[in-house]
Amino acid sequence: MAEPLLQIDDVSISFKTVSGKVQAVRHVSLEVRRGECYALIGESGSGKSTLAFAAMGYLPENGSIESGRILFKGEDITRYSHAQLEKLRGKHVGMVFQNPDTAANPCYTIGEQLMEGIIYHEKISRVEAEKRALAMLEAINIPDPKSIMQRYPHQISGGQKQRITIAQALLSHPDLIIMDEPTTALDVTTEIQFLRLLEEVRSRTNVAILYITHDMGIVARLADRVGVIYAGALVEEGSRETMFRHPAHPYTQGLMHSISSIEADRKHKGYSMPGLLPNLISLPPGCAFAPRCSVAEDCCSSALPAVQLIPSEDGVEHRVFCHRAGTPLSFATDAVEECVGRYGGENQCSEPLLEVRNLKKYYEHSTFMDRMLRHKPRCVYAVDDVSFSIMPGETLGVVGESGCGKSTLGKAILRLAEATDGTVLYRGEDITHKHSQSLCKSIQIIFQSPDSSLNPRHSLYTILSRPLLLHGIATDRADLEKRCYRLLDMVSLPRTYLHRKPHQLSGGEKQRVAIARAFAVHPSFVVCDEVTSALDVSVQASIINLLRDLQREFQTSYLFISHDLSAVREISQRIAVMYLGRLVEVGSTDQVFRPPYHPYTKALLSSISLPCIPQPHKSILLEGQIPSPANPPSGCRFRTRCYRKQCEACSTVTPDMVFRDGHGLACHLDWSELEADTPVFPESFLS
Amino acid sequence: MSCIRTVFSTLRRYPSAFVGSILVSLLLIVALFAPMIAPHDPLKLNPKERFAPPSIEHVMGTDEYGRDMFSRIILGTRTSLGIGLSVSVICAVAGGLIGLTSGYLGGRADEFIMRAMDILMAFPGILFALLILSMLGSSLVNVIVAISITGIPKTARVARSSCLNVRNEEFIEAAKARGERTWYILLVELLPNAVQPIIVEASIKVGFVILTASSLSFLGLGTQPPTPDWGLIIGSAREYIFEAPMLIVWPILAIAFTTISFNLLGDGLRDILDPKELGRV
Repeated sequence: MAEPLLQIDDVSISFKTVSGKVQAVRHVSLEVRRGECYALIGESGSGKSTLAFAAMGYLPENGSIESGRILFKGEDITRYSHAQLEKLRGKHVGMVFQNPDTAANPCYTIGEQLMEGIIYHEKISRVEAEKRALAMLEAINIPDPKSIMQRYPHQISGGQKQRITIAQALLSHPDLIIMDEPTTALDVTTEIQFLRLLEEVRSRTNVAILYITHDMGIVARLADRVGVIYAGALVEEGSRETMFRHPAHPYTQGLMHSISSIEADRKHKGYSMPGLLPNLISLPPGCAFAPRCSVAEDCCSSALPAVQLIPSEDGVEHRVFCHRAGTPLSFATDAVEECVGRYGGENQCSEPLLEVRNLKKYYEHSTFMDRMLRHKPRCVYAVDDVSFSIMPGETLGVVGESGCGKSTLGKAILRLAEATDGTVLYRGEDITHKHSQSLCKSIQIIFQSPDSSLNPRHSLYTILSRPLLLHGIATDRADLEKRCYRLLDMVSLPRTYLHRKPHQLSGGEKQRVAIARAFAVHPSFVVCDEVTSALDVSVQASIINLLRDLQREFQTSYLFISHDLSAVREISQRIAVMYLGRLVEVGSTDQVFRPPYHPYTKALLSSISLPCIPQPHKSILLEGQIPSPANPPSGCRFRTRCYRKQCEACSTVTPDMVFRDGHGLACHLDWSELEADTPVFPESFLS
Repeated sequence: MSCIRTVFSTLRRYPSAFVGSILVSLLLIVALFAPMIAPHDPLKLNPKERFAPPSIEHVMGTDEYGRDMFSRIILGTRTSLGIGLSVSVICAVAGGLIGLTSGYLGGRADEFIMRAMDILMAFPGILFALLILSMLGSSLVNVIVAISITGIPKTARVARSSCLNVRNEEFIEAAKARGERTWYILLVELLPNAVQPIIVEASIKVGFVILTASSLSFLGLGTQPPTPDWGLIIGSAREYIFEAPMLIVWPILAIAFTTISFNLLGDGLRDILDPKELGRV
């Protein structure tokens, strides 16, 4: 066993706030050894980032370490002076933040920012620093490092920026890198590149990594050991294999079951953990998880659980903080009830509810001066020639990387963005440019971030009653209140919430309110724009379950826009894959997940990290960057990144969508050739 | 009753708002009950007692006509606060509506309105006010009109920028998707979220307006003598600055005190009006 590098010994951290003292971290002990990758997982607000920041001596002004020691190479950094801490951060510990856009200073070139640290801390010359920075960029396979060094942060893509932050962190040859959700802001295709780079770095250097995340797929790919943190306390720790195969703490088990994954059984609802994270200001005396635990006993809520060592197969210490560790739990969920109006079967020949034909949405950028000088406007081809249809009661999932135009597509259907060309037919009627109250009643939208989609100044009563009043559904005051209560019941929120303001609710609860508002008018078509992306893993499943229940009750059709393929697979009957404003593949969920694949779909599917050890599939790394939608490539838009052999037509002719059994592919390759492709996932995963 | 208690308990947690609101209410009380507080008639001439030093009889001494300085300063509160508050309210309402509409509509309407505001702003404020006053003639109402016109563009800019922050929030899109009319979105969805900087701007403006009004009076274009007005007092005391320097100090102190009070209140309101703070009470 390698010697410990970072030891966190019985550390408690609290924050002073207006409402009281927040116990962010409570008596956590863990250690990161030389050369290992330690993954710290937990929900948002569980204190995992606070702990990691404290390990670097960073705490906001109102935070303080109440007890315990943080030892780095045997020295207690809580006693370090400012200058010592500066040296620690500059030389020995690197940091990679969640958002690469805000981590780099936009005023300086990449090169200057890379060299700054080593020039200051190692007192080396500029020339030498430049040499080292260049060597580092080459080592992590950044194309054309010389020109990258001279560029400003806004001139490179998000994925590249995150690779640069790795280079920055590695440049001083640190012993430890702390990574705070470094891939959360990235697309899956960029994420996989980043993870590959990390694996490579680890095989070359002996750097230890403290990786903070909530993504179990990444944990399964990278981690040596895993620590699970809940409400500021470590609840379980063990080797990756033990944690995935034999988790002992009820919380860890719940977390493992609530992950929506490709391999999830689609016949059953996803498991979602009941309850909420406790209030960290007034914590219960016993185990913090007791109120949400299905096997809690009296002792759980009165006494703090002591550590238990569980023998593990691989000999790595497996620690659990639970009175009832190892109690068998049931995570069985109800079967998904089949929808009557579902696409397929006897309804196959019914009329589509919504049909989109050759829809185009171009954004023109022209300023007053441009018009005066008669410049040609710069055009962004957000949605370019998209056609599909949706049956009553059906869910069509739309997937694609960020910036591919999937959200614009949703907005164009709702007429929130005026379509440039093409038609949208609703029940056979052209609604492309029509604005009417009855349409607003039939077509609704649920947004990604409930923080932004609910007016912070309005109470839930105002939010829920407004659509009822506007569309004349409620007849009088008493009726209005009754209907608001019914809406809260519908999304399983307590009736006492009616007069609360949005900020008094948790993220998942807010999203429920947004859903209730959309369903207040009984719409027959709802656009769900990344509805689960801003939520914690443990509540995502419950939101998807709710959407499914509502769909069955109201016969609603969904356009489910998401970049999360697992969520899309769970809820959708059909999936459309979008790349740079165009659809490249449309088909039933089973068709899209099996060959024939569009080369892009295959790359997208293979980039997913699954919570399985080892990963059951090989990933395809896409070369190059996504081209700008303002200047898309000629011919097939995917050709610049396509890994299959290309013919001349690829760069000259836009491929048409070819349909077979309702499965459409837009590729110049022969159908038979695509069909001969190897499946990404083993068949056992998709049943 | 409980409402007053909530207001009080909120104020106590924000020191600058607390001090600011106490000072402002003090000023308002003084302005309301000015004739009762003033020990002498501010207009009564007393040639025998010119330039009297501060005494028990005349706390701040007397001016060049022997008028009681303290009474003049007290009565001056009325004109100054009257101008300050009315201009701020006019600017907040007019400028706020112009800015919100312009920001929400965007495109050509926005460009047209904002360019018009830019033209107004291009004139130095005091010169523009002088121009308006020399056209309209000098009176209290005209002073209010003149300063309001110079102040509206700035408030409109503040309102527009705060509107632009809110305009792209998803609840605005949700309202559009629901089929709401423009006026509803503007007044019910947008305004409550954009009003905070406007209110803060208005409260800080009060001090600034009093300064401008005083400058105009000092130049002889604002309120006319013998009305007790701080700017006017400074204007006439200027001639005697060596004989009786204190005459100029009192109105300056009054102006500074008022400006600071409203600035404190504005600073405090900025913190309190945060929606998350409102909910905590």
